[in-house]
Amino acid sequence: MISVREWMKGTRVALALTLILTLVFLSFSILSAMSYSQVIVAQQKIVLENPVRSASVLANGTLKIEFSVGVVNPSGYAIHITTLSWYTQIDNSSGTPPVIPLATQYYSANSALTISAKETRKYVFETYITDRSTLTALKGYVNFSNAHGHTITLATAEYSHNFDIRGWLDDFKHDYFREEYLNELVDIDLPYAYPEVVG
Amino acid sequence: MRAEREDLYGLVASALLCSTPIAYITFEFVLPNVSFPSFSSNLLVVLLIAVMTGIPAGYLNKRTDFAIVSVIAYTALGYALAFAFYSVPFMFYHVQQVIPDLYYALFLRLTVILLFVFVVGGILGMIGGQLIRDSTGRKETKLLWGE
Repeated sequence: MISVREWMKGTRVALALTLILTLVFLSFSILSAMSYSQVIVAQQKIVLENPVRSASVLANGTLKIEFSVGVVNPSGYAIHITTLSWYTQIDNSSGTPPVIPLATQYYSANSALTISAKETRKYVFETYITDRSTLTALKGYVNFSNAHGHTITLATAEYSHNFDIRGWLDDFKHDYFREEYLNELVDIDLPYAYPEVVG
Repeated sequence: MRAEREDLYGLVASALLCSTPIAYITFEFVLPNVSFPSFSSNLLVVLLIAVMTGIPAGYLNKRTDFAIVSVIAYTALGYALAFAFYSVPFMFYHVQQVIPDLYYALFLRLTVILLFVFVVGGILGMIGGQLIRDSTGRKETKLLWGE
């Protein structure tokens, strides 16, 4: 009967080569499982923080609307932004037009915006409404609301804000056509809507 | 024919040592974009690695039936390891799973074809491994390489 030691001695070259193969693939597996875990953790920790909305009427009658929000990225991966958009409007459900659009800002992937690893980036958007027809529509909305029991002004009206930031983590491949779950794995999509849309 | 100790050593060694390539390839096949190095879920690469993985199983096992059982054993063990690597975020990073059934069903659905490739490739590699073993055991080979 042959012992383990004798058997190993007889096959030492083959065993050593197989052990190298094993260790190489084991390290690949551990590395990949760790980056998978870190991507999943990053997906959960990247959030929007402290959205601030404000509106004020300047001395010359111009309406200034401002919106700011922070994007917190505590992960070790940079975020490459594909879409950064913000728009504000008044939802005039009881009148015409049903929506009074006020401002829109949009940045696509061509802008090559990035948020570095472990960074909190604050985005500030502001718009000045000087257009006479828009201001007239807004004043009509305010007057109509006040005639129905509200007490609002141009500065305190409920302007709706919609913000959305989309991007992908680091340099992970993110343009699969068939296996779309792979895109979602490394994609970031953080929408913000005020007032919140239910349903 | 009764199994000898030597056969069991070969079986256990090849089952343990050959399982990690199977585990990595299975994991990489499901998540190619977060794996390093990535073979982009290429089935030809999977087959080549399966053949390469089968060679030690053929070399370490003298008997062909044990070599075939080794291929099946390391494939099963490697697949189980891939399952474990796939679960790492939920085992060690305290990430909550939303729909566990769907999560694991996706893994099984995507990788079931690989089991066939691993076994077929493994047996092809095993044949190569046994040929190498036979060749190195011959006196002619020793004389040829000794010159």
